Amino acid sequence: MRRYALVAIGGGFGSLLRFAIAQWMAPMPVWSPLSILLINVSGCFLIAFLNFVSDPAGEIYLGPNSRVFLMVGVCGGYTTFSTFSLISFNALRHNTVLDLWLNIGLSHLLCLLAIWIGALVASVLPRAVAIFARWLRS
Amino acid sequence: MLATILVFIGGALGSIWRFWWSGWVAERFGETFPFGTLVVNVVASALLGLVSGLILRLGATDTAAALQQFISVGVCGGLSTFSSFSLQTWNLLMERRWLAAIANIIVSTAVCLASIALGWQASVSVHL
Repeated sequence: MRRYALVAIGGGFGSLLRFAIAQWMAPMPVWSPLSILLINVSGCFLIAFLNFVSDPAGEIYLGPNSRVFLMVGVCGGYTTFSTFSLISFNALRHNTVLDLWLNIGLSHLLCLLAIWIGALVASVLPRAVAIFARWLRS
Repeated sequence: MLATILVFIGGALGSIWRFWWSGWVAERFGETFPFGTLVVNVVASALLGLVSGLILRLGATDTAAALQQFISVGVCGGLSTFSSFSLQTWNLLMERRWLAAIANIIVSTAVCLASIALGWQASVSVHL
């Protein structure tokens, strides 16, 4: 039951953040699918980072409740597959085939890249922080 | 202020729905392939297609704006997820299950796009 409450609150805040960024970027003279692309890519970076630092099989910096709140709630609510699909559908409807393939190609490619970078950063960060702390103490 | 509340509650409900269903599907069909995420993304896409078609027909009304904020941004956005989808694709790649990883990308993209079209088509027959 507590898990459901954590997912609800995390998902609410994640969705609000997505809404705020999309609203903020809407009047900008940029490629219109860019806001959702940036949201999904940054969410992928975040989930891979969190996955690494809360992995039950590895060194744990975050407990299981934080893991559910942040990964299932915040990241899940923040990123969206449905709007990504709607953008593809609208590109099809308006016959802008280049937009369709750019949206699909860039989303999958950049999100996988973000997953890789997120895990990479998480794997070196604890050691980097430890080295920095030692340097501060010296 | 109303928009903030609608998005928050919609996103919270969508996220609970995703947590509940993806867990249930994973339990029944196993976690060898991310069926749970696929199912929630497909359902969210069908719902978004339906609601987007309705919003277009409603035009610039308060009802349309509220539907957009509560269902499109909130519920559909909270229910569907790109981050878990990409993380699961990445995990399949790390396990060297190339075919499953590529199938996850192609099937998710194609079926969700088809679901949007299906929902959009269904919205035509709704009497407003």
